[in-house]
Amino acid sequence: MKSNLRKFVPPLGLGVLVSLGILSSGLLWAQIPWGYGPPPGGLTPNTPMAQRSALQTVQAQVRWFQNSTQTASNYGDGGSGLVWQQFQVLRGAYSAFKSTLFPQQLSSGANELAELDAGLDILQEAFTNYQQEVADGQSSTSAFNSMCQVLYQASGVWLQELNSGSARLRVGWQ
Amino acid sequence: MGLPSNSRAKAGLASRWAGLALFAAALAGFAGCATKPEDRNGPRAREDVAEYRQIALDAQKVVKATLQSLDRAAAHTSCPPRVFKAFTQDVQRLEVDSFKMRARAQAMRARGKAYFEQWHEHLASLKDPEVRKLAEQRHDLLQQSFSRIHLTSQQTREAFQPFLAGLRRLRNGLENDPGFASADSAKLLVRTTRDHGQRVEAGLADILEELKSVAAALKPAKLVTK
Repeated sequence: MKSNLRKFVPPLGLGVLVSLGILSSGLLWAQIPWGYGPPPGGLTPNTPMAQRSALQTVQAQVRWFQNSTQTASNYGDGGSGLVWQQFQVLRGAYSAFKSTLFPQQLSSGANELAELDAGLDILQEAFTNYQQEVADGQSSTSAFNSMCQVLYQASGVWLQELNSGSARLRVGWQ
Repeated sequence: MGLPSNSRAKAGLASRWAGLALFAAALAGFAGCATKPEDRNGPRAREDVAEYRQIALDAQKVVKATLQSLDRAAAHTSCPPRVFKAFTQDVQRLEVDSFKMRARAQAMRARGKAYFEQWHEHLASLKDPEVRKLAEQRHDLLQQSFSRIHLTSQQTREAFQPFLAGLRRLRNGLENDPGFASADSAKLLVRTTRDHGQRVEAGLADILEELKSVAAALKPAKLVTK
């Protein structure tokens, strides 16, 4: 009887090893840098570091864009082209940022991302409105200044939305 | 001289089992700490209803102020520079302060039903088990409310565009001619712009009312009863 019982008692060392193995695999899974499955193929690396870097690029580009709305009037007729160009660079940076997100972030943040997309479309409408106002006979300086003020402030709101959404989606988290 | 050999063997076996049991308990504790990545590092759900309510409230406030400003600017046969400046600032503030509201309405249109399915998902992941249970029990009721919010948001967004366009045209007209608003041709513009603004205001009020009923549906009974 005693010897039968002994058969079911696992050697303590082996138990510890197996248990540590289970435990460490759980911990390792929790620490996988890409977190939500294998990194998808493609040119953009989907890593937390790539996300942070892409987010910082968008944030910096918003500031460059805002700066262009403040200084563009110094460039005369070329001012609107400069602001437009900076806006297009911002769109490109945002698009690159989105391509670094993990599938779970894209899925869970689909509404927020759609709102950010819509926000950029609304900002872009300001350029169309400006052109329309000038075509309707509005002083181009006045219409341009008005557009720049709206773009400056609205892009600030957009940036706040980007930051709060990124925090919620844990962008760049390890 | 100590225990007999039989007793020593039993004691050794018991202590080995006890040690293993202790270790298993510790392991279970550690395993509880090591949550899955989607739990620990995964995205956090946002408070959709509360956030949208705040955004609609902000938009309602700025629309109201702009309508008052429009009335002031249109009330003069020749708009004084001070009134014109205030009107210009109010139009600009409207464009900025309604930005989030317009972006949400546009995102709702782009995503359609999927937008509100995510609201349901967020409610299902709430920490409060009672609210989670209520969200599940009242799924159909909430779905109806979300559909109404969707529809009203689209109608409000549609009224917003001509409202803003009308305000811009009035601003430009007044900039070129302070007596612009009193001209017969501009009176129609003032009226239609005001109508669109009032439609936006009414739409925002309806959205807020619907959001209020959603919040009430998710409030546990013990909090509402005295």
